[in-house]
Amino acid sequence: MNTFTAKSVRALIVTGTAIAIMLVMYQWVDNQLGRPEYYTGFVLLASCVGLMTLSLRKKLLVLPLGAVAVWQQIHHYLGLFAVGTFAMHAGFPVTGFLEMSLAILFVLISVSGIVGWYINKTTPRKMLSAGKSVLREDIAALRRSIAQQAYHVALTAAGKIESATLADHYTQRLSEFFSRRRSLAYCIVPTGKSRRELLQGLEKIERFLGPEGRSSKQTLSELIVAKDDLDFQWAMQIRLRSWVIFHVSLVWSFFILVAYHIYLVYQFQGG
Amino acid sequence: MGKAVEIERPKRWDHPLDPTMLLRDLDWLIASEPFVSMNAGCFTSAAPLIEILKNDTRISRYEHGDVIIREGEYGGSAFIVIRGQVRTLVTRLEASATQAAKRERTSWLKLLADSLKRRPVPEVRHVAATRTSKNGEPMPTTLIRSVDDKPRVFLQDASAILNGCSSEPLSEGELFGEMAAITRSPSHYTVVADGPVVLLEIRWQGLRLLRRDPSFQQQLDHRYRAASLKTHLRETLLFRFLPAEHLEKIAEATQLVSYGDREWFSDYKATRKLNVQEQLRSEPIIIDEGSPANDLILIRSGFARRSYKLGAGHHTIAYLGRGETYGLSELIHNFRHGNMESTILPYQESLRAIGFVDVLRIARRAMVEHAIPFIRQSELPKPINNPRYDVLGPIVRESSQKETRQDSVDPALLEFLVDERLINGREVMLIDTERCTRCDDCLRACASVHEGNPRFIRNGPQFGPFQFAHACMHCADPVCMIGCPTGAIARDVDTGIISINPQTCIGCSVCSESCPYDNIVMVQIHDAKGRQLVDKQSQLPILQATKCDLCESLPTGPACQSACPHEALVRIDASNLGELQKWMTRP
Repeated sequence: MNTFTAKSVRALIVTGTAIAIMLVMYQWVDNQLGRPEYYTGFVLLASCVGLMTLSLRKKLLVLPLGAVAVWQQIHHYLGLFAVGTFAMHAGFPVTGFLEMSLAILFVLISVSGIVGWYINKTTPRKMLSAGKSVLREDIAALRRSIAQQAYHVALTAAGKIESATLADHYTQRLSEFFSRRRSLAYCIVPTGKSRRELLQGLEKIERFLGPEGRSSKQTLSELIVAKDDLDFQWAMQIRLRSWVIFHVSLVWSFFILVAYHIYLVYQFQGG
Repeated sequence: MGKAVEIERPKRWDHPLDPTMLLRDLDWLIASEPFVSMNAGCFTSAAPLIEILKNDTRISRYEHGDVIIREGEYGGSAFIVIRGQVRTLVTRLEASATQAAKRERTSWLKLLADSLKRRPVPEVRHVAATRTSKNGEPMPTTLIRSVDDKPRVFLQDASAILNGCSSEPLSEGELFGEMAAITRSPSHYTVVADGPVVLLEIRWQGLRLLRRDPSFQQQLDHRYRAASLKTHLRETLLFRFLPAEHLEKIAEATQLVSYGDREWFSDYKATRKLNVQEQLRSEPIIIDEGSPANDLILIRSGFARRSYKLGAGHHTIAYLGRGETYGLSELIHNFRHGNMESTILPYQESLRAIGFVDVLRIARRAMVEHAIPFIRQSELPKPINNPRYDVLGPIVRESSQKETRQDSVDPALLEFLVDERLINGREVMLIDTERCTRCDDCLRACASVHEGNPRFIRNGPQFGPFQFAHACMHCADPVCMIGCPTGAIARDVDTGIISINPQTCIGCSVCSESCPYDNIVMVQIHDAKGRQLVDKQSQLPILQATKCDLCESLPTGPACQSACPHEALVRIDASNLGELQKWMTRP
């Protein structure tokens, strides 16, 4: 077992133990005819505040409180613990509009957290498979440069009878691909469908081309791949950033409702 | 393609150090010591003495208190006192007094307040900023003044500082700064003008040519041997158990030789585009494989590539840096075999200068008689079991014989580091793009502790998934420090961190243009209200050089590294291959 796996297993054991202790405590308080939901509620609130400290840590880098990576790990396992505590606190089924809203938000935050953990783990490798790391700010300029190169290849081909088919194909099928940005759907689930279709399209017209045309076709194929790789990198980076915004906005909405929930609990605690 | 444009071939002295030098001064110089005693016949017709003096020297005037050489500065020139007197300060001056960019550690409370403050205006310079001590008294600080239209850093209240420090006077005819200039090592002392002084500045290119004169070379050698050689040898790991009398003999048998172009960084941006073999061919040979193993090579400064011929090219197996040796295996082998002609081995690999290298060549005989008997058995290199060369030439190897490499480092990584000159970096920013999600938390962290302006670009040469970002590497050979007219860019002697003092940076771009890695960026500066600062006369924006300072004012170290949530970024010494490999192969 390598160090990383050993650390993860250790952290999971600690989290599982903490949840088990919570469960035992819950039963004990319940058996004592206490109010276990108060006890789980405060633990849950403390966990949520603990989860929020990651953002604070990122702001206060000057304080010697350990690396953000360590805080991020704690965030993951504390999140798991909060899910366990929430299940005890909310019970099943959840009733009431406010409680239902809180539960939905909590589930959404948890799911987005898990999805975020997954995409944070897998996206870098996917981006690496699409070539060298590219800065998001540079992508627009690189796309423009590729589009210009493709246009130049097509323009040159248009001047020769043997490769005129390629110029027509560029106008009908490729020009839009090189000039447009990809759709929202592509950003959510980037696929290689367009790329495959466009490359196949080029293969189909190869038999109408002479030697020079075939060389231009090869250049266009390479440019399609380069543009698609850039689009992929862009989509992946946008997706990651959008996910952070989504996760954080859910968290803030959740905290507003939590504050209202606590206010109501104390207003009606006598009842 | 258009018609080629015919131009005059660029010549060596197209850009003299002082284009305005008068013939009268030149005549006077050639008739003065030490030049009058030089043998004109030693110089080539392409570079005669008069031309060297005309193009590689300048006469400069300094006022009382002007700092001529700063301790820790990487000098590019030597000086001869023509008139007046200078003082070499033996005791170290406070960094503030020499304008080095030494920063005090800021209190956490202030850092906390600063980090929470919103900074709508990046790179603010407080125009009238003065440094004050804790009790509010002005600190003994330096200022910049113009002497003969050249910026000069001078000591405020120089007389008091000079009287308070232990110093040695240098008067007319004396030479100083030559060792730092020849070997590109940091100066060990500060030199200050003691009254009005006239100096002859000789840039390193000229100094190198002047060494063709045997008496001048002898003078330099003598000064080096007297001042530094024995200390340098004593500090070498291999010679630490040598008795003093044997060390003396080794020093006598040592030659100081330089290889390569000291201004390698000016060509590097062009040559890095060449393929590996072409790049390798452009590197001067220090040792050719197969040649008789007559010397031990000790690297004094710079880097050398150790490689052997493989097919039509060369295969890099290691690079050597300051303090490392080459040729010991062969010397030991030949020593063990009694130097019998049939068993004697020549050098097994080639050694090439990467950029500029200064080496000490220690003669075999001296090594055998005075050094090898005192080297511990455990420190001796492994025996050469499968030589590539013997006295007859290359040995044809059985294909089944496996290559034994000294380093367990991936050879492709090694070649990448050498070819990109990343071996120079002591604090390289390495990003694992297999973990980096491009969240830019590192950039935000950097900006938050640097007045809203990040000091690096998250982009750069990439080896597989590992990216070497454009962040100052705090190089072993900091070429950016050569030529800074005010000494604003300086290395902290204790930490090795190179930083820029914003108060003394005049925005001349010398450092930024010299940096071979494009890691210094010139930025426009603003006042506290966000107004751009412009030059009174030309109305052009005033610039300032900015670069990574490794967050030296923070108690937590580099913010970029501690801010990375994915442990994808590290600041690492690229010369420590073991550490580098370990980080790259971590689970």
